[in-house]
Amino acid sequence: MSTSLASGSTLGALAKQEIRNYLEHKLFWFGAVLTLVLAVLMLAGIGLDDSSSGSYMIVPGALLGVLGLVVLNGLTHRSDRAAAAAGAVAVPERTRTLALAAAVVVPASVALVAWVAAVITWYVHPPTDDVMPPGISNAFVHAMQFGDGVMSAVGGPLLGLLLARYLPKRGVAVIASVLLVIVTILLQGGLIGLQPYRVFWVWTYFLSQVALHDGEFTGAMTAGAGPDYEWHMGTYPGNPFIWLVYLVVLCALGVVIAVYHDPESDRVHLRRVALGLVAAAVALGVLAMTVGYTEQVVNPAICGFC
Amino acid sequence: MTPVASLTDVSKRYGATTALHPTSIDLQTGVIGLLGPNGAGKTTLLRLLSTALPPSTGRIEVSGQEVTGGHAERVEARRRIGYTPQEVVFPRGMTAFGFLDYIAVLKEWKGSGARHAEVRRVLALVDLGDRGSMKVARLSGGQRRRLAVAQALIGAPELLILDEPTTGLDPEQRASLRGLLSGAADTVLISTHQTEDVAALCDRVIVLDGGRVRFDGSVPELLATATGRVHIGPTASDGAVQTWKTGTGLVRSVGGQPAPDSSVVDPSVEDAYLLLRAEQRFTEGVTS
Repeated sequence: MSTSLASGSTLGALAKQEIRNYLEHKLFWFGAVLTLVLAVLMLAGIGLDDSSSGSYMIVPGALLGVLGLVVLNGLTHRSDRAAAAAGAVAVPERTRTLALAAAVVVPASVALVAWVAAVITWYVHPPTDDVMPPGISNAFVHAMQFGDGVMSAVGGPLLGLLLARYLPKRGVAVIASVLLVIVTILLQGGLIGLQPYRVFWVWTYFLSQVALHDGEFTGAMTAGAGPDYEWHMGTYPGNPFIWLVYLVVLCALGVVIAVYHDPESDRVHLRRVALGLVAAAVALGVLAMTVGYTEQVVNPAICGFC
Repeated sequence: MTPVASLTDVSKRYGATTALHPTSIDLQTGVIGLLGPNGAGKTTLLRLLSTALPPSTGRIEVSGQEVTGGHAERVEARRRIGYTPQEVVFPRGMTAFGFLDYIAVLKEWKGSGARHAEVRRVLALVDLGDRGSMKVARLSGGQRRRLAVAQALIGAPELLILDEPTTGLDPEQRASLRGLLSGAADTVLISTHQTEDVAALCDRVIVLDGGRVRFDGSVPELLATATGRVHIGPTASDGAVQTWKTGTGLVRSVGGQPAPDSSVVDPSVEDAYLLLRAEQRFTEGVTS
């Protein structure tokens, strides 16, 4: 057995395996190629509307995040089967869980490239004057883009891992990804108005088109908009910077809860960490609702492309 | 001699059902066969010993590590154990090499060079050296079974635990596997329904029934329990445990009162096992 004690950590070796497994997954490549092709087209200005790259990050969010849920869920099942085939092995479940979690570096890297492309596009092909509401910085948009794209590409696969740990049934990942999209649609600002609690959801907009009637917000997209309504671009209440930190804490919480599943883990310690992260997430969620951006800000110019 | 593994008053309960009554066994160097009917507690015993399952009571030690103690000792014991479960569900989409490579990482083979060499070694041991690049799903049943055994051989464990390793193998593959297992580890514990494997391979045999050890001794000792009790003749013995007509037209009877004109034949491990089981059923019938 002494030959096994070669250089490097077990977690590192296992993480490399899981990263390779993620890279070999066809669904990942489907999402990655589409994301990057659309990024290149966006950079070239092809198919871009006046809002520039403002809403592009939904692409990596869906293609790397939602599909990533299915990918990492499958890889987790595969890892569990391999471990079960060996009975009991020296490497515990929690190390496998952490290695699987480390594999999110794959979709996250692609999403990061897409985000950089979106940021570059924002300056190379800037939005028209009817897009950005007064007082709203470019950083506001980039934070939103990072949350919707990069953090989704991290959080989606981690959700798949978490589901595989606690609901190891066939089809759960597919059902969860469909539910995730449905709930996301329902919790968009356009459908639930200006409710600030929307920032607690993991995938939401902060800048979007809004329909006004007599200067009052009525909704976004097609919801509630009639012929005598005016379309503008506007923000929804909520602080995207704090929301980003909130998403990071949620991802960390997901990993901790996934590790907690291992009956041989230090559950007392993990419970404390999880409770701390839950408290931090709640605090950050409340802060995202109450700090800095509590009101809707609307661009007074009529939106030309909405 | 210090045993490689020992169980002291180990029991396992699943709710109200006792799968294994308090049992004490020392496993020394050699190949040990574990016989018993379905539901006898064999798999439970193997899973306990492999640390895949915690016991309800008792103490288990493997290579001086008390696996029922702390986590660190349990992990240390796992480094010395190779285990092939009875039913292996292979991960989807993996090649034979990829599967073993993954298991090798789970067994703490961190450096890829040494790990790949070890994977190639165990693939060759189970005669799958030329099947490494094949998807597991495309391997035959017997090849998959050998692959399951190969993962247990990674790292040359001191204690090799195999739950029905020869199931699904053809006679040639079984013979080949016997040859491999006879020198695969210091101590090999094999659960099997194949009494020929026990006769051909094992230094010692343990018969488990109803969660209790019914026999523990050498193969000759097991055979001795049936000596003079197996007959062959024109008619079956009265009250025989099992009878069947052989290819010669004569009837072979295990146990019972021999019929006139019958003659005694050498018992097989299977004969001894059948008699042991029959006696056990009789004893249980009397006591109940």
